[in-house]
Amino acid sequence: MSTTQINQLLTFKLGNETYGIEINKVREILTYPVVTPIPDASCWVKGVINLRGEVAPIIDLRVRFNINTQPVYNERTIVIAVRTQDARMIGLVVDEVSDMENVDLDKLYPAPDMGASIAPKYLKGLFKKEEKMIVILDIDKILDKEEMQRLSRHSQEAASHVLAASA
Amino acid sequence: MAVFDINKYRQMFLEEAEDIFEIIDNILLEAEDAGDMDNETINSLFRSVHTLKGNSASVELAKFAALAHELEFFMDKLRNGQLSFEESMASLLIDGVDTLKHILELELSDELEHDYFMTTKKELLYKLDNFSQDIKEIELLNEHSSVEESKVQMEKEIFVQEIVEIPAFGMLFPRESNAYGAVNGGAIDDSEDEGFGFFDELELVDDNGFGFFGDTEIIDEEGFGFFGEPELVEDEGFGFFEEPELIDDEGFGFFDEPKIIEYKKVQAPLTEEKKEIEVKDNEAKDGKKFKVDSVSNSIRVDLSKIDGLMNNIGELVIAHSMLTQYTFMMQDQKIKSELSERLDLLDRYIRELQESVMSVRMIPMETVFSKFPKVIRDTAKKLNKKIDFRHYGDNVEIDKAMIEGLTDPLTHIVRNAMDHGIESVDRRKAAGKSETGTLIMSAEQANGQMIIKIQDDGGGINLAKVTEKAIQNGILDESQAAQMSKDDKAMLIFAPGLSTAEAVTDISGRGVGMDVVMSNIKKLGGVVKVETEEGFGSTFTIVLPLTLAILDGLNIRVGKEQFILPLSAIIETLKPEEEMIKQIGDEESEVLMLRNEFIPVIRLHTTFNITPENHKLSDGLLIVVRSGAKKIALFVDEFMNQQQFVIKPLDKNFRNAQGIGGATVRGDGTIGLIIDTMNITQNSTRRAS
Repeated sequence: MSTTQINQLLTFKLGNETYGIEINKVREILTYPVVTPIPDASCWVKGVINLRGEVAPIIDLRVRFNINTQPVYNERTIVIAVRTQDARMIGLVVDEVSDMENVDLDKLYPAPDMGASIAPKYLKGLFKKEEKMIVILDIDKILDKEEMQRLSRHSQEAASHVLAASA
Repeated sequence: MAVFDINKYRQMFLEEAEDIFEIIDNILLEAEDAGDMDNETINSLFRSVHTLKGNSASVELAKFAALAHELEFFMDKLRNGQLSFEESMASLLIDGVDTLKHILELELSDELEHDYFMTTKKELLYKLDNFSQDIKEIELLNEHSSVEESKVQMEKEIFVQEIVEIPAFGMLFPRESNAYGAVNGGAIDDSEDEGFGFFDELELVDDNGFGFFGDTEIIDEEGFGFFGEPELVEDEGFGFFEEPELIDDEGFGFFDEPKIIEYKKVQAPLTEEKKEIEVKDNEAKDGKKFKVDSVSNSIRVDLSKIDGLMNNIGELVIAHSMLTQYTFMMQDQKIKSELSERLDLLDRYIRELQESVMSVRMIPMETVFSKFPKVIRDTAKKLNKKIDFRHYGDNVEIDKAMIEGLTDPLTHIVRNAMDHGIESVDRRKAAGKSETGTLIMSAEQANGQMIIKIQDDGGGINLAKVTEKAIQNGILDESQAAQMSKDDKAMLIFAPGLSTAEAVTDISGRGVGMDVVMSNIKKLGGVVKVETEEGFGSTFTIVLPLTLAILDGLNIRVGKEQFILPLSAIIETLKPEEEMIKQIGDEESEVLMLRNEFIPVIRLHTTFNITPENHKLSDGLLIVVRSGAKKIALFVDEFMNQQQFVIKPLDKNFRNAQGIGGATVRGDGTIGLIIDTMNITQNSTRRAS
């Protein structure tokens, strides 16, 4: 990507840390709606909702990245609806939406290889604002169709192992 | 309707070719820009050219097909990695494709001279072969294009002269006037171009031709009336075209004479023709006459517009059911009943609207089938085989959007069945079969799905050979092959690049066809299966979803979750008695003994991983549903209301889930999941093995 301007980020909280995604990916911000669960989906796929007439999956980023495996869903839980590069509409569950931030995507600190529960390939980089750190997520990588399918196959296999063990 | 009216098929081919050329051009232009091409792109490029070649051969455009074959051959090398893509290749290929277009035009207008074709072909081949010598090639390219131009020019001039010599033929009138009109405009070259373009169209035009030329009677009258007085003709002709303001007026002095009424009819198309010419004159002379005129009472509408309309109606249906749901909660009985009455009326109108929009998209399968007799006849002739083609289900309606993606795979399957499936006359005799092979195509709608079968009574697929080839190509290793079932092995024919044919013919054998079939059907959201019996033939089954259908469904409850079951799949519902339930083997394999049938029971709780409310089958309810050809009984806790649902795809934003065929928006705005009975069986049979 050679387009290097100042990008606006939408920042939100997952657990104690602040994360950011590019604002032009965001379509809508809504409170946690009634979600229809998908029978064979991974634990981080909460289900599907009706988003502007489309059937959109809801992904809980907190569960996805092991930030909080027992999250609460109440009227303060926020869903950020994003549109991916390949035009899929997906809702992301976050703890709270914080702010907007102007960030020069060229001047990011690279994400460290170790010591993060989010693999570096899912990150665009780190941004330092005063004494705070904003982790900038690469939403297209996280929500990549094949990546998601690979992960859900994994969890299915794991589940079937558990079943086999219990039987 | 004449079955073998070549022009009708050429028209179809041309429409397709136009699209394919567009795709190819885009790919190549992009590649030229990027200076690189990945494997996927090369593959799709190759497929496009392959389709062009195959289809053109079937509408008797032999020279075009031959040239396309050369290009295909070159791309095959690229695909196989024998050649690696270089930047200058893109421009060479673009030129090659342009030559292809050019040849197509000439061949369609019957103006392709053998010598010219041979030189063109030779030049193209030369360039392709000498690819690595870049500089040389560019020189040649320039030379070639100028030669080509002057040559075409010459031919056209000759053509014009010929026509002027026999002016008594009515059909020639507009052509001549085109020439004149343009001469006045001072652009001789273009006018001649137009002449050609015009005849291209004439050849192709079938039902949707210009009103004027379609009606021979008028033409004759017109022609004779006109040319009966030659001096006047010329004078008037010039007079007419020299005054452009009259043209815009649509009231030409000449045509307004009331004594010949038919002229009025002539007027409109002529003016259009003329206008088009003027427009084209202004355009650069790129020689793009690749346009099929369609002045008829049907219009071509972009499918996405109809999709938009369907979506709007879908929202309307949802809004309506929201209102209905709201009405249920009303206290005042009088208002409630009156409101319900009006809502029912609204419901009827919405359904009608829905049906008419759906009907816009639906066309009978006959349109698909009618393409094949010709293809089959020609292929049979070429292969020297005798084939009897039959088709059933002509009136089954299919979504127009599907047809476009379906024709290619069907053609490939048919060609393959004829080339590899059905044996030669001698072999058939030796095998004790009748001389004539049979190819049956059928279409039916069942269980909210479209099922298309292509059946031949040929030799079947040589599974051993296919497996061996697959191992050779590194698609699988021997231990994998040993574990595969017969059906799995048959599916190997859909792997890319796998062909058991010894020689590559122009009908099939390159091993592209079948992977095109697979990818195209998948694109439509369908499945293709093949069953084969060596010595007795193969059956290809294509199952397509009716994605757009608005389905009547039954709400069912499983534990705390609700699902929607398509009404079309339901055979009966019952509350089973204890003695009706039998077990085969362990406790989990239950069957329902219903009258004289044993129907396997599937507990939806288990399939969908939901805590059940009832554990004993006799406490809950069983729904006997159709699942393909079989019946299964689904165990649920309760069934609720019946309703219409707009199907929305689940995999647009997410992916398909097991046992789920789609989703819908319920009256309260939440999503409901629609059960796919076909899919559920597959899962439980897999579990059993």
